[in-house]
Formats: sequence, structure tokens, C-alpha cells
Amino acid sequence: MTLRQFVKGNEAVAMAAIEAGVRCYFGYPITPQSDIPEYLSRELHKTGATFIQAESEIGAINMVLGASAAGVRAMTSSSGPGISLKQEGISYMAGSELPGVIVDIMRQGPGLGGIDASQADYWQATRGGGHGGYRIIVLAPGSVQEMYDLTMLAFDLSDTYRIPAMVLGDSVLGQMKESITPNPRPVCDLPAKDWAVRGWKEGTAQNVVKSLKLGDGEMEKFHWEMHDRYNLLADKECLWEEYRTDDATLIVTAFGSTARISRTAVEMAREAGMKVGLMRPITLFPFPKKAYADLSTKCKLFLVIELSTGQMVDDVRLSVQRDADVEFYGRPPGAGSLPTPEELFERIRKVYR
Amino acid sequence: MRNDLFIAGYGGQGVLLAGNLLSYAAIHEGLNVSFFPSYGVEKRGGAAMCTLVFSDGDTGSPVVGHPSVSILLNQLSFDKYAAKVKPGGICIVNSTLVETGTVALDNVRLISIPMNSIANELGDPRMVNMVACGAYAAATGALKMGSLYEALKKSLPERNHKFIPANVKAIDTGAEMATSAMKF
Repeated sequence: MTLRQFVKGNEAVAMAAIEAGVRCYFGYPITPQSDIPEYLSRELHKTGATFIQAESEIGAINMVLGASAAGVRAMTSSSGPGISLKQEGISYMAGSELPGVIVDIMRQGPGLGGIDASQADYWQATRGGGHGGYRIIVLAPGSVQEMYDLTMLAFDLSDTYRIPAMVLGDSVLGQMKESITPNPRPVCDLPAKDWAVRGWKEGTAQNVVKSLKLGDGEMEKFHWEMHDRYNLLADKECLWEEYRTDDATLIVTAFGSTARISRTAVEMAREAGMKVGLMRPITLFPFPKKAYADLSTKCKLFLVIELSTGQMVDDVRLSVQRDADVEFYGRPPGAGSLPTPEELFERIRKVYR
Repeated sequence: MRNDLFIAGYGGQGVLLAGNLLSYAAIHEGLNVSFFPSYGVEKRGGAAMCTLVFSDGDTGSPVVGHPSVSILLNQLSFDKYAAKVKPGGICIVNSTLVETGTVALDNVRLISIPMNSIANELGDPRMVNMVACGAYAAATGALKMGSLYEALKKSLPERNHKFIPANVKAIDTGAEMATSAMKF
């Protein structure tokens, strides 16, 4: 049995990256994710891999692009303002079909915002974030254990589909400490990176990694291929967790740290004899649309809870059956604005029928 | 079984170390732990607080609105958080720095311990947090004393392990004080 460890969410991300065999980390410090580069600056070189504190977030993401083009596992991490700066590079990676892991430990915004927990970057993450009409894989951990496990999964999914993958946490998940089991890297059958640019040898085909597509029909073909790949992702890779949804007449739905607070609120409701369940999407892209469609054939009332004025609620409304009602409760980010389970229970009581 | 605890004080009083110590003690007992710290931008003198949940099952919300137990180390924390303790709960207070008459506590067990005075007598004012941890273990019975001693090895850096006997003494004194306070 692997010994349990007591670590911060951010440290779990860094530990998992090493276990997943990351060869290059490029980053620039920003609260509340600086524990990730701090840990990796200390530990990564011991594995023979490279840690670079870049000159900027833009520098860092373009280094990820370069390393990934050479076929190695590369990652970066940041928060709101830094993630915005990285969008150009992420768009170029998407256009070049390059894998790579981007960790976003959300803080408040817009602008410089603040360092407390927020979920207001849901749209930015799940809609691609940069220009050109692309999507990235978005995984939303709900515990320190999942910060660890989903970071490893992000590398595997990204390599499998050649789509950048994001781990979307928040300052609660990044800063809190939990007891975790540092699981070994899962066995996964990954495609060879025969597209990587590692230097040309006589008699071999030339590999080209680029996002500029000027050939006749080249860009259109790319978009339809990516469209199919996104659909394949949705068919095969959706993850979610249900808690006491079987007989529920109200299903609370939330992701990340909000789902943790909601779970305790759902338990309070159950103790009060109310038939309430919890649906927690783990993949935000692909969004588990079918799971919501299935749940809403039986349960006709959903309550979406987010640390924003409402973003994921759009996806829930697009996914449930037409005759299901979707209510929303939002807590826009700010110091002291985290809802307590007691407050969410009150909200459940108001909506419940 | 799910236990929750809220600890608050000034930055520098060792609030986060206390939270870490009790977390390691709970892990030592095979429990799942969520430790959620929150502190101001300042280091010393600012507000520091943390929430701890430990359970043999799912720890659930790391945010707790009404904790069953609070450890409050200064007046500011007491005035702000004492009334949030759940009915039937316990409020452990550092009476050297806290005047408890400011908040009316209904159906909450108040355990007043002069933690600064005790820590000073034991030779180091920085051991306030250890006195508090010992008081917590004795007042709630939620964690064994032996687990706290074990946890010292994990939560203190190696270079400070020479201070473990002094910290054990502080934990024990806190526990004795809480036990005698519970008799009244």
C-alpha cells in the first residue's frame, strides 16, 4: 500500500506531474498557484527534467509549445491574469494539434482581481479561451486527491487526442491540505508521437508542426477533423460523480470546491428528509451532457451553484430535458464570499419541491 | 464520524501549525483530513484562521459555517467567531488575551485557559498553540494524546525536533487545564 501523505492541492499537482513523467515545466509565479513552481523548482531536476522560471507567462506557454512540438511532456501553471496572457500560445498549440498541460488555479477577476476563490473562468476555460474556434480538455478536481489524479489524466488525454488539457482548480483546492494516496502513473496505451519535430534524417518524411494553414481547403478540413475529435472525446471521456441522485426530486449541481460545500448541504437536506442529490461534473469539456439528459428524464428540478454570477448554468440548461427546470444560485468571488454548507442548505430549502 | 474544528488568532500565534499538528494526528489515527487555511496578506499581526475536518468517511465541505469546536486565541477572533459555534459545541479560549464577557454564548461549553501565561511559564510564548492543541484533545476526546506526540515529528521540521519534549509538556499542560476546566 502506498503511504498516505498530507499535502496542499498545489503540491499534489506538482507531485502528479513528476509521476506522470513531465520533462519540462515552464512557469511564472502568481498567487494562488505559486506552490506548484516552488515545488517543481526544488524537485523536478532530481528526475533529470527541466524547470524554467520564464521571463513572463507568454514566454512560458511558448516554451511549452516548443517542448511539446519536440515530443516531450510539458506543462505550465498560472492563475487568472497569467492564464489570459497564455491564451495566444494555447490557441497556437490547439492550431498545431499539440498536447500540453495547463494548470489554472482560479482567482478573482476581471483584471488583477484578488486572490480568493472564484469559478468565473469557466467560460474562458471551456470555450477554448483564445481565438479561432477551438476547445481544450478541461478537468475540474474536487479534492486534493483529484488534483493529483486528474493532473496525470490530463497528460494522458492530451497526448491521446493531441489537444491541450487544462486542470481547472481554485484557490480553495490549491491551498487546502488533505490526506492523499500518491497513486502510481496509470498504465495507458498512448499513440506514438511520430509527428514530433526532433531533427530530420535522410530517408524519413519531414514533420511540420504549425498552425498556419493556407492550403486550399486545409483549414476547413482541420476544423471538421477537430470537430469529430471533440465529439469522440464527448463519447468516450466524460467523467462525473453522482451522490444520492437515484430517488432525488432536486439535484444540486456544482463543480470543484463548490461541489464539496454542496455535498455537505445535500447531506443536511437528506437528514431533514428531503430527496436531494448531487451531480458533480469532473470533465467540464467534454461536458457530461448525456448524463444530465439521463438524470433529467426522472428528476425535473436542478439547482446549479457556482462562485460566479452564472456560467456552467448555461451548459446545464443546454443538456437537460426541455421540461426540466434549472434554478441558479451564484456567489460572485470576493474575500469572505465563500458560501457555507448552512447557506447552501437554506437555498436548497427555498428551491425544493 | 465527522469532526470539525475552527482555529483563529493573530498571525504569529501558530494557528496554522496547530491545524497541521491536529491534521497529522488525525491521519495517524487513519482518518481522512481536510485542512483549509486562510490568512491575510500580512504575516505577523494579521488575522490567521483555519478549518479542519476529519472523518472516517468523506470529509465533505472544507468550509464550515457553524463549527462544533472553536479554538480562539485573541480578542478579535473571539468577538468575531465565538457566536458561530454550534449549539452544544465547545469554545476553547486563550483567556490571557480574551475577555469572554463580550459575547453571550448560549448552550456552548466555554473552556478558558490562560495559554500565554502557561506558555511563558513553560519557557516559550510560542507554545500557545501547543497548549491549545492539548486542550482540544482533552476537551473533545476526538484525538488521542499519543497521536499528537506522533504528529509533532511530522509537523515540525527536523531541525526543531529537539524542541519536541518541551512541546509535549505544553500539550500535556493544556490537556490537564482543559480536563480540570471540564469538571466545573
